[in-house]
Amino acid sequence: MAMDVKDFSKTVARIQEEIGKEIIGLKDIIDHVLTALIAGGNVLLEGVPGLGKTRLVKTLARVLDLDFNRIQFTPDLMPSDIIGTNILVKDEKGSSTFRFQAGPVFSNLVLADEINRATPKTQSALLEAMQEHTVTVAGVTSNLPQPYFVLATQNPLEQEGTYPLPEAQLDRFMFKLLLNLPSLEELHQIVDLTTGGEQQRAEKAADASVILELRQTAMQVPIAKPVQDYALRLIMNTHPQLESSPEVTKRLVRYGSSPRGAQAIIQASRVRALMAGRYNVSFEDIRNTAFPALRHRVFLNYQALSEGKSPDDVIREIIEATEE
Amino acid sequence: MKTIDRISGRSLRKRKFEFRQQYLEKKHIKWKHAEWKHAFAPVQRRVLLKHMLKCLSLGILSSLAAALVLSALSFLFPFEYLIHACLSAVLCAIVIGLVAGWYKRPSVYETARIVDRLGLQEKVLTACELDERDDIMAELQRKDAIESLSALDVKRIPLRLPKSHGIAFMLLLLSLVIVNLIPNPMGRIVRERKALRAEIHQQLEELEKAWEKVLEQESLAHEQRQQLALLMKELAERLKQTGEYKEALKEISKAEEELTALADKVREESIGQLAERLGTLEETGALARALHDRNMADLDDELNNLKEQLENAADNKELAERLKDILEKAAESTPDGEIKDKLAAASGSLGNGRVSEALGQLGQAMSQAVNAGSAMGDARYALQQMRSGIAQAAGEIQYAHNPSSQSGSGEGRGNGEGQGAGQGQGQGSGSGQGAAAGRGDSGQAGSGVGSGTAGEGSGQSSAGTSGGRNGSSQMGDENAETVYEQIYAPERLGDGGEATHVSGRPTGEGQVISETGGKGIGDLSGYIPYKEVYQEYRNEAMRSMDRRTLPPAIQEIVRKYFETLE
Repeated sequence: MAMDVKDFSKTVARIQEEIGKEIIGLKDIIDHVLTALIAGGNVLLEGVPGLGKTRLVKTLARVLDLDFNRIQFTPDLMPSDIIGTNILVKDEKGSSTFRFQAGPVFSNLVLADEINRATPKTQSALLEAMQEHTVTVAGVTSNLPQPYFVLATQNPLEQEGTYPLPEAQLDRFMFKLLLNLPSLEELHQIVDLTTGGEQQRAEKAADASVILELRQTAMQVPIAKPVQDYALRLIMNTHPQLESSPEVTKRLVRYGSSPRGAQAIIQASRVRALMAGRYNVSFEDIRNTAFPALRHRVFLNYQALSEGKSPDDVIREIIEATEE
Repeated sequence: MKTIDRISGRSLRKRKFEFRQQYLEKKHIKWKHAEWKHAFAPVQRRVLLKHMLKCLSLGILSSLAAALVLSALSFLFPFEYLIHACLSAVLCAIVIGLVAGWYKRPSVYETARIVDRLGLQEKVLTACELDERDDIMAELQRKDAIESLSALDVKRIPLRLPKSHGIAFMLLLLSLVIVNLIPNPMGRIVRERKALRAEIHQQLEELEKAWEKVLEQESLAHEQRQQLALLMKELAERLKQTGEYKEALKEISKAEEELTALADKVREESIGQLAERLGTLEETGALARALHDRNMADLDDELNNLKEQLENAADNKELAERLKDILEKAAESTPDGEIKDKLAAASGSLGNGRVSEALGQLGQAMSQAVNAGSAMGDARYALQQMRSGIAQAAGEIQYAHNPSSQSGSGEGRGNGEGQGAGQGQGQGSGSGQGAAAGRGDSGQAGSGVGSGTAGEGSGQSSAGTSGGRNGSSQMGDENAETVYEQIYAPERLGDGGEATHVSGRPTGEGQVISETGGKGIGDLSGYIPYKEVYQEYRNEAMRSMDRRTLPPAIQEIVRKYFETLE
């Protein structure tokens, strides 16, 4: 039986409230992270160091009472360091056997910190875990705990010592969220909170079963065909090779979103609808989720870069050009 | 690659089209859930009302635009029924707007979209789509949508029209007023046409009355009545369609010609029957030829000869017997009732030995045969009256609507002199046919006017003349006298005037005078101030009355007529 929309909203509000005790500002980021978590997607957070990315994930894990592991990506990090490896151990009888030593990905919540500092090979080690929620080592496939959620952070690409994430890896992230600098007021609150004597601590507001229930409820939210059609046309309009695409796409986009982009928009919109107290997806939900769901899936060409256009600028124009 | 991309683009559009079509085409859906139906109905009605108001507004704007176009065109073409056309355009555009509005009324999908834009965030659209579903989530969604709709004030769907409609309405209305305030040069033509049509209508009524009297005459055979009635009906239809006085006059002339042909045919039939029978006898052969030639003088002579033969010849009994048989057979085959009776009576008189009486009756029968079709003459006279009436009215109308364009008064007088040869023969019946040409010393046309006396046995022909207008005439002079009424002077028509034929009605007594005159030599439009010709016409009429045999009562009528014109 589906959870009532009021219960859903109440639960999410509680989670947001608890997170807000430790995280100042970043309301949109928290909402989007929660949306992706409930929808079953992964999130890529991009921002300069020190904006509270790690703290956000830690707080999230505590509030949701989930297992949490952090992987600090470095250039020398190996795939086995992430997913685990078989080690030789001696049993009680003294004979040696291989035993699988699970890596840090075996956790409900994985923080892949500074993921773009690792080599692409290591980055790719997360592909199966993120998409299939399984890990295969030496021909043996192991399921990851549910709910499973990877939250990766990356520094802006122009910084030194970074490796851009391959397209396939990027596509596994439901959202890419951009962290901006806090405002002066928020900065005051952050300083007061972290350097003062009294600190509020976020408490548990839900657990894994609640998250799974929220996800199950969200999956059932109906979406009217015209709304779904709008989302799909939005995806189609990101492809410059299609005759029906708007002019901005043909001019500035190198290639557009994969079908995963459509899935991400629809799933996330369902969650957002419930969070907003509705049992149906609206056009506004689609538009709101289009930015985080598409900004890492729409690849701009050199002309866009030379014009100083960001993916969000192009997505905004595509949205404007797409008829409801 | 490019081809594939294009195909993908097309298929996407096609999908979009098919997908939307499914919604757009549904104007009404039979809802499964009554509670949803009740919640949705008010907003659907409101949206429909708004749509219909918009369509009505568009209809009104279109009608104003159409009226404006018609008004503008009325400056180029004379629209006799401009107001009616404008009103019809307004009504048509409004009705079309409403009908089109109903036909293109918002579908359920469109209605849902309109309502959702009021902050309902696709709740209505989704609920419409989920109406068939009964699962928990659909129920919850429907309940949510119903609650939102119940809380929605339908007045938030505004009924006010777009501002552009108001601006367009004001502009069109203003343009329409301005266009109608500008003097329209075609208005005079329209007014003339209307007045002429009214005159034609009035004249037609009078013509019908006169015609009815003609049709009541016993001398007319059934077939002739039918032909006359048909002729009248066709003329009336043609006249009702015409808006030009010249066309009307042409139609009347045409009808007159047809009437003349009909009268000739009737007369020919009557004479032919009797002449053929009489031609079988040697003694009545000359009489038959005189009858065939319609020579009344010879007829009298031959009747006298026959009388002598019947009274003096040795075998007169045999001749009388044969003549009796011939008259009997002629009476049987003659279609005309009166001629038939007379011939039968003559046959009977011969059988009884009353020769003089028999020949008198035969003479009357022959006279009637010669004058067969005289009823047509009455009808033709009515037509001529109508033509004169219409022509005169046309002149008056033109003057009344455009007095400044009339010519100034003419000075001086011309002397007209009628020239016409007349001949008549009294034989107890009379018919008159006359036309005369006159020529004034100024070279103006003369006219012939014939009149037949009714019941008096005499024919009268008055030769009209027109004294020339040998005075100065100034066109468009501001100081010119412009109070003259217009009069139709047929001799001044561009085709050289026209002949007027008037037949008298036979009564069996009196004289027959017949005159034929030529047409006038006119070259004007046919309308002149009547005072210019009044004196000439009066003088000519007086002279004609002196010359012709006309009963004093009729002469008095003519005099009084001219006196009223002074």
